[in-house]
Amino acid sequence: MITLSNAAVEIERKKILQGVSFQIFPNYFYCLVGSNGSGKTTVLKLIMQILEVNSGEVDTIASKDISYLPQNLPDPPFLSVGEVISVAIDREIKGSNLQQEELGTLAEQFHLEDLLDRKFSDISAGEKQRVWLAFAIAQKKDMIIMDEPLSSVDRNSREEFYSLLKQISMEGRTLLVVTHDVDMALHYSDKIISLQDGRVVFDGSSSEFVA
Amino acid sequence: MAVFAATLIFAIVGVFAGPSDLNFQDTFNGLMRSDDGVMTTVVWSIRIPRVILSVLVGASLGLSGVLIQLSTRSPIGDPNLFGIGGGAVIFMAAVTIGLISIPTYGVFVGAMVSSVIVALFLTGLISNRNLTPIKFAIMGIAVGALMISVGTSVISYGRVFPSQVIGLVAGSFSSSSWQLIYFITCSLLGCLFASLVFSARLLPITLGDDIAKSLGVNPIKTRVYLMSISAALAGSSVYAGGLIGFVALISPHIGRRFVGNSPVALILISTIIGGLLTLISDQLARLIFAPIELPVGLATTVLGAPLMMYLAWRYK
Repeated sequence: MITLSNAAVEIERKKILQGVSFQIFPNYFYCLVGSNGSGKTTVLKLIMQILEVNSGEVDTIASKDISYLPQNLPDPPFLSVGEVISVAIDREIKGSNLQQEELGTLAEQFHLEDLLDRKFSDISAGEKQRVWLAFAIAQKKDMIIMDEPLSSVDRNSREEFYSLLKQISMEGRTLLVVTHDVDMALHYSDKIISLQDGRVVFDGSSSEFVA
Repeated sequence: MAVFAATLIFAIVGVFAGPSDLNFQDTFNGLMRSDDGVMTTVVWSIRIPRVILSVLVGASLGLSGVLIQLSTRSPIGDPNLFGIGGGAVIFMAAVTIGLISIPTYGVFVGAMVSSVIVALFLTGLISNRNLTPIKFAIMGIAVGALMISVGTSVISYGRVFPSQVIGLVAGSFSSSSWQLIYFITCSLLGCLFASLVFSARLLPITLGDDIAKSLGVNPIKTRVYLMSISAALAGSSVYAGGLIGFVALISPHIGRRFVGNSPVALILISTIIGGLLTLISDQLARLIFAPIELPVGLATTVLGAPLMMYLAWRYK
């Protein structure tokens, strides 16, 4: 379980978070919504221990136990799509046959079969996001945190991937996804946390959320 | 296989061809030590050490290149382009003109330490500012130019012979010896072992710092280790053969075509290709205008520059 109590963050005298409190319970699919500059990414950085609070408390788990996908990831140089995903698989699964099998399964789930041998830097923005999504899932960790993972993916595919995320959370993993996409959050997530100007304005079940 | 065959061919060329007026039979006799005269000296004290040293120095550079490229995520990573070898050049220049006077092994260690200092400075830059690979490369090239000009200034100040200046900043194996080979073998084996120990961390680092952390790899510490190993290799190569450009840059790119990005395989193939490229370059530099020798760094640049242009052309 992850708990933020009254967390406040100030960066260069600007108040980014002001007394944010919420809890992330295991096995739920959370969406963190809010407009630009509402502090969503900062919340993730607190949980990942990249940033520290100025006041309040953050009770989180070790960052190596979280599969974390930040926003705007730089392209890995040199590597092919298959090699990028394999880095995540290799650390979890030993034995090359099983690894190949796992790579095949992920490629199928994320429609990457034809891309595995392409250089990562050569594929489109939407394709890159699908690769990163597969990368995050491949790590087989109980907690997955993603910052706008599908912003460059077209609407139809986005729906498909949100339903895949829901399925993954139902298999016993906890997801915390930052998104602009309130429709998707309403439809697929279990719980929504909404931020506005660095404060929590909603924290509850998705079915009760009113934007 | 082809790589080994090529190494063997050029090694034989290196032993049997040269400016001294020896025919095949003489050289062979020298090789077999049938007399203990001029031929034995030429073969055993000049030609064979030179072949071995060029391979070892090149191998050090190839390994150094793969480490710096993966840990800084820069496809144009090269310790000699980024001033890491330049640190050792300044130190060696100071030794050459007599500013620093220490025993031989001290010079060897000093060259490596000077390079490590520059490498740690660069590593600090990336970690503090979260530099993109492009910005890092630009800063590295600036540092590289600075190091060479300081090194050249130091050596000009000492009014030493021009050939020593050229040997240091453009590379030369003309003073190869068994002692040098002993030193370089030690540093290369030590660094190769260390690289293999850290090999599992290479690809996570390539994916960026945030991702590396969530894969359980500390990016800052790992980069410090990898850059230090890379720098020790670069410093030892400057100690043994001066500043040799492009070998570290292109060896990993050529190696990747054969084995992909599997870290252990890439480390080994880059090391081997670095050795081969430098051997070929040195033999060309030595023989093309014999008895006049070109600096080996010029030959590697002539081979490496077009290859780098081709890679840049292809790179997206």
